[in-house]
Amino acid sequence: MSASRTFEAIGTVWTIDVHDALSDDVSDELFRTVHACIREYDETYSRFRDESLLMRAGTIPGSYVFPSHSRDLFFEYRKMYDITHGKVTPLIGDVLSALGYDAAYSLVENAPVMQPSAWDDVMHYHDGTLTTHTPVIIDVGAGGKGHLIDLVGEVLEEHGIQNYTIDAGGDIRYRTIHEAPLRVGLEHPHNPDEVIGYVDLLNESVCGSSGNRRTWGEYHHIIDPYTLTSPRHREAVWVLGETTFISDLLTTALFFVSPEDLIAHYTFEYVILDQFGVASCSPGLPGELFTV
Amino acid sequence: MEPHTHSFKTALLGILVVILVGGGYWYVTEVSSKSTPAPAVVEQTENQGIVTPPQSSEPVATDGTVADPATGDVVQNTSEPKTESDLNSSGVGSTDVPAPDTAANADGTYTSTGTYRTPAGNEEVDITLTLKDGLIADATGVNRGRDPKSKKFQQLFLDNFKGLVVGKKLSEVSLSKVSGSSLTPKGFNDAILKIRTQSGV
Repeated sequence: MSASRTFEAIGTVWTIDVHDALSDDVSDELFRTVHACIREYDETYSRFRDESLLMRAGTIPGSYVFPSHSRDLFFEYRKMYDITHGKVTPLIGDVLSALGYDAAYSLVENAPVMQPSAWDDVMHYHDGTLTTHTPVIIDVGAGGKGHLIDLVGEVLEEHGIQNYTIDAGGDIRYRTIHEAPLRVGLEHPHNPDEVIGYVDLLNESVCGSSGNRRTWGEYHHIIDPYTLTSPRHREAVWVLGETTFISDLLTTALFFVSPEDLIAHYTFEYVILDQFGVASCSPGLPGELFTV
Repeated sequence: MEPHTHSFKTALLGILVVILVGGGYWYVTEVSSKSTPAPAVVEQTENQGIVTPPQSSEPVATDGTVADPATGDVVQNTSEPKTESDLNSSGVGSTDVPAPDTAANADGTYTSTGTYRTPAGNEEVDITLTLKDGLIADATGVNRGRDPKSKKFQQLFLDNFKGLVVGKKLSEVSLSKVSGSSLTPKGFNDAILKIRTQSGV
């Protein structure tokens, strides 16, 4: 029997579809492991938990030993930080927090909003150990969800599952041993009953981000660390890539830089919807956009 | 005058959107070419179909004159124009083809002229839509700009407007999943509601 479970975690709705045959016993054990994986990730990295390891590292400067998955997280974050000249930065946490984008969603400016620190000035990561030099709020929101989706995918694969879909709030990882693409609609940013196109996933992930969700005042959840404003020239961005983590990071990056700045460093496909509702996509996009 | 069919209205709305977006294109290009700070967002409200120019931050040209963006001309239309006179009063231009009365009959080619105001006076652009089975099958435009700048911006627009997305209902497309952000965290929406209530907005 195949299995499908829907649950809420890290502030979003997850649906995991296992297309392989699975006994009830194995299924129960599998999802217990999945939940444990998500809980451990949240307790390690969440900016919305004062007691998370990352928040503690930012509160009292010092050296902190992180789980092994932090290597991938910090390596890719640093790579993206360098490529985007610091526009994609985990140090945006201080800015988001000052603007009231916090655990309580107070959404009221509560501290002077200043440009975030430079990475090397405030922290150093090496081989599983994060050393902070000064109090700092680190936020892995640009890629953390994608990273976690991949880790959950690894849990499924360790259980011998070869055909599955993980959907966490519209960010999707799909794996199969068959030549059976998964058709994923691209939600219209202004109307969730409509799609502006679709992509066909085959052993890939797709992540999307839209500037008109999670808005407060003049901000949305993506903030340019240089201008301290939310980019308005992009309405929505989708990225298709081999891993959910990289796709997630690239989605945020494309709010700041052009695809040309990224193609030398990553393999991905994209759809960008600009502020006037005009869409553009990579030439190799496996899908279709509905345009005039 | 016969009532318009839904498809026909869609076509006219399409023309309108195309023209409005064109205006926005002009405006943004104008702003960015002058390197003025932070272009203001042109607000486009679907429900009202009104495009308003930025109220407070008129871009100032480097030669000291105040640039009146193409969108400075407030174009109003109701989202469902009922009569020909409604359309004419919207300032969008009139159609050359009489309104057909059924969706099937609506198929065909329609040309409309859009008028907009620029710093160099009124300008026009022709848009032609081809309807097939009541849906827009093709769209083309003719550059009728008189002022050299208008000509340039119209061409920019005409070269690019075909990427304009048209949403399709979920029921029209066979999909396994949808990628988007409608599942905004519940807590966030609750917080926004609370703030709106407190501030009386």
